[in-house]
Amino acid sequence: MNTLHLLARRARAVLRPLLSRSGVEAELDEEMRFHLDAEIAERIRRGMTPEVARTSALRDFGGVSRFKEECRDAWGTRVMDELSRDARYGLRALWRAPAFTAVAVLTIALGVGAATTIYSVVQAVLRPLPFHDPSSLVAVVTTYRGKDDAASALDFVDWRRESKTLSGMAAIATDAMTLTGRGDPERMYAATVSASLFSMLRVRPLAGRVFRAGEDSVGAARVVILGEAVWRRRFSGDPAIVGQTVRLDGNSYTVVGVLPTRVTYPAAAEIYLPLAFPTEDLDEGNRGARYYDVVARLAPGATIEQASAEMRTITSRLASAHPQADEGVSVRVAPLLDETVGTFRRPLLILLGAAGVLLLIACANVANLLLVRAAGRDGELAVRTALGAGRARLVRQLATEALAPFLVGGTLGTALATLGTRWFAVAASGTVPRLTGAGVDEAALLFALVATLTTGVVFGVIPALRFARLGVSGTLRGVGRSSQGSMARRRARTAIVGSEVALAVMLLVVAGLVVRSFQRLMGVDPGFRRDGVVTFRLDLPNTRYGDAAKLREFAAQLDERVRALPGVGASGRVLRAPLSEYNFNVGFSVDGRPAETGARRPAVQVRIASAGYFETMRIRLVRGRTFTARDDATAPQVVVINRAMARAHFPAENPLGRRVWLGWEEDGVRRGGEIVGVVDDVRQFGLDRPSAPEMYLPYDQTPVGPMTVVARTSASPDVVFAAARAAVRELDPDLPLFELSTLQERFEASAARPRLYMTLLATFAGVAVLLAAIGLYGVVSYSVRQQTREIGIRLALGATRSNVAGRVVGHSLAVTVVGATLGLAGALGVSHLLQALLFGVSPTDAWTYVAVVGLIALVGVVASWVPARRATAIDPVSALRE
Amino acid sequence: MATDNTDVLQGTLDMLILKALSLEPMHGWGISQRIQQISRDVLQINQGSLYPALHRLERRAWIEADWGTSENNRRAKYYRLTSVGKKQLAEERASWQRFTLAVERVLQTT
Repeated sequence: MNTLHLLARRARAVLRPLLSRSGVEAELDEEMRFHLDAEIAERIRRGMTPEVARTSALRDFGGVSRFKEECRDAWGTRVMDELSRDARYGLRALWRAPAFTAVAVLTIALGVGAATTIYSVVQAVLRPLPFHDPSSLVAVVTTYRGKDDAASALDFVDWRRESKTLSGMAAIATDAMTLTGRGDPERMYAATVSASLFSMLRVRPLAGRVFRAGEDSVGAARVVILGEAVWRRRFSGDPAIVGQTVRLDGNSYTVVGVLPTRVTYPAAAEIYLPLAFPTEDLDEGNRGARYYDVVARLAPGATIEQASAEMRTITSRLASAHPQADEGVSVRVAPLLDETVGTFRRPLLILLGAAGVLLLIACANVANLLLVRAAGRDGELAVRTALGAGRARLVRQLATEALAPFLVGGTLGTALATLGTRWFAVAASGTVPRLTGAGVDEAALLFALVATLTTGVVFGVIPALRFARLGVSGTLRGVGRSSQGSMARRRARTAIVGSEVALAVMLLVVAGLVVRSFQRLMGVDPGFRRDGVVTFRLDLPNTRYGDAAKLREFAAQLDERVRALPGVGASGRVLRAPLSEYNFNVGFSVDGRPAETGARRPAVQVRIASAGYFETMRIRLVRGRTFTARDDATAPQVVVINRAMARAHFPAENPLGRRVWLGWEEDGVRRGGEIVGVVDDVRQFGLDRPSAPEMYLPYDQTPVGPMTVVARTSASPDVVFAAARAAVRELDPDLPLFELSTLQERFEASAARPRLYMTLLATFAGVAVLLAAIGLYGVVSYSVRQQTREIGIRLALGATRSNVAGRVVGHSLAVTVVGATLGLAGALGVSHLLQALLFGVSPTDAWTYVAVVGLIALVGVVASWVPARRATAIDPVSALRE
Repeated sequence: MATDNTDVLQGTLDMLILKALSLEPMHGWGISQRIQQISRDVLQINQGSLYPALHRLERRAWIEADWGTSENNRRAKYYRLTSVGKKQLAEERASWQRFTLAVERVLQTT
């Protein structure tokens, strides 16, 4: 027989029983029948009567079904058979108990869905950067007096020349440019980057090429790289755009390449230009002008510690060589991923932890439900064992049954996670970085699967094994009575519910703290009235509005047009609106005080406002006056300061009348002037960031290109925006409006992150409390059912109904209190991790803890209310007769 | 469930079946009869062990089965030794002889 034939036969022998059950079964039957008939014939031949032969042969043959089973064992089909039967049985059992099934499946789906969603999000945010060898990419971050700052051009040039541990060091500045000439003018976020950046990152362009060395030198030809989104939106994805010119801020730039969205840096930019340091940046006097972000790649063999040490050495040498500019300046080198993800890692990990806790609670809840069911089935199982079912067989069946809700719930949860991740990616796209394209990936699916199956197996198999240990007779005797087994089980269930309560309390504390801190945040007085104000930005390009007169002229016309917009009562302009996180920090001196230099020189945030600005924003005037139309180019220079500046720099004197001068000179005019007013503090950098000392300059004395128009209006924002676009188009058809929003929207956007965290954590905590309540209800109502007789006896012996109800509620409260105590201890233990999420609330905020305890006690009472009512309704007579 | 010493018994039974089939293809009943005959009724083969054993051997491809017609014109399943089975029989035989020899030696020491 040749090998192939052998293999085929063998495969047939193995596979046929699995594939064609009925055929094989029929053959087995026929074979048995033949054997029996032959045996009977033989016995008759030996002289037995047919009847005797038949009965004796049958007797000797033994139990046909048993050895048929053994034959099936030999085929290897039995295990599969029984598994599918168990699964069918499990599903039928689920179907028969719809309430149990719904609760179990939903619980698991919620737990798995929440955990998998957050896991996917964390994966997406913390995934490696999409560049070649991402772990060797670093950010070189300048620190100034311990705080992160940007790098100056001169420092960058010196670093790049001297560093041996870093290669391809690139500087990045962000800018905005206006694209004109093809459809409506559009404002674009532009990154100006060292020519080395993209070759250092090894980005492959979609079309064309990346920048070449030398393209970032002063006087080089104007070139631009388009981001994929702009390329598709404005140039319909035409690769032939490479080599053509586009107009940006009125100048022609040759498009040299297109970068894919997935692999650009910095990701927020829409177009990329080579960064040629302006000559004044390279003037030694401007070493202190810091605008640039710096990224680099570790040289082969260099570690991040070596790079850090080297950069610190270089920088401290620079600081001692140029104390005027670089005193207090140091540098740190950090993985680029950390800098990109930055402050999101901690909150996301907290969310992941919370989702994990929710999953735990969900599993505990289902384990609890399974234990209740197992208790109800002792009798059935014991009877089946007595009838000859194998122990292993029953254990397997119980496990399969327990797995069924986990499988269904897990599947549903995965579907939920897919939706949840998509929702999160949309809802948080402006809040959390790197969410584009976030989805439930393989790792998350694996996580969900492992989590579900592990819990399913653990909690499905534990009751089964308990049963196996208890043995038949004990269980049979215990049917319907409180037995040793059900006592142990009750204890197990109480422990499970206690831990559920503990975990829920932990989540409640976390959610409570975050909710409180969000309330605090919303309660912050931003220093302006946010209702009914629309804002939009304009940026007058230098190319067409090069001199102050042109700027002033445009501004005057604009003011006139804005006042004529629908419903507008008051309007003004500012550089820039509050909550913009706009950093315009300039050193200053005060007349009559010795001029400080270097690090000791005081600095303020500079804002440039028109006459109507303060009134439009309803920023309170503390003393003096705000700007008027008379504060024009010909009038004496004046400034308005905020309270923080008055407090910091004029603590014991009236600042009005003092003269302050900024280290900012333009057209030979020193910016600054006499302090004519003090206004209230305004939150510029976010609701959670205190106001810095600020100085307002009147626009007409300090005209600049970029401006934010603010207008208080009774009309709907969309109407105002449409009218504003039309009005500006009439003034200058090439000037785009951008960042059109209401102050209310800006306010909400600035709180979007805490709001997102709060929403998620509060949802998790809510679900957790609900699950814990279900668990408590289950434990208490089951114990009431178990003690029906006992309660009946008590009632018969004269216990009052309220005694009975009290005992039931007391049982629930006892579990709650123990759980809550553990939970509070746990919460206190982990709460310090929350610091990053909190504002104005201590992680050990007593009010929150007390509220949580009150809430959970209430839950304990409510959860036991129905069972307590049921207990008091027990009829002693029928309870005793049972 | 099988009794104790399953391995020894099963192993021996397998060998006996292979040996019986090495003479000619047979159906299950024939095999049990043949072994009983040859052993002069010392070895009684229980059907409960025989058929699982036959199915097991078939799965291992030591024997193969086809449906044929019996002496009394009934459809019967005939088992036949395969080439693998022949090798297996030779091996089992050798190891059985080594085993019995060893046992014999132990028993003969005085």
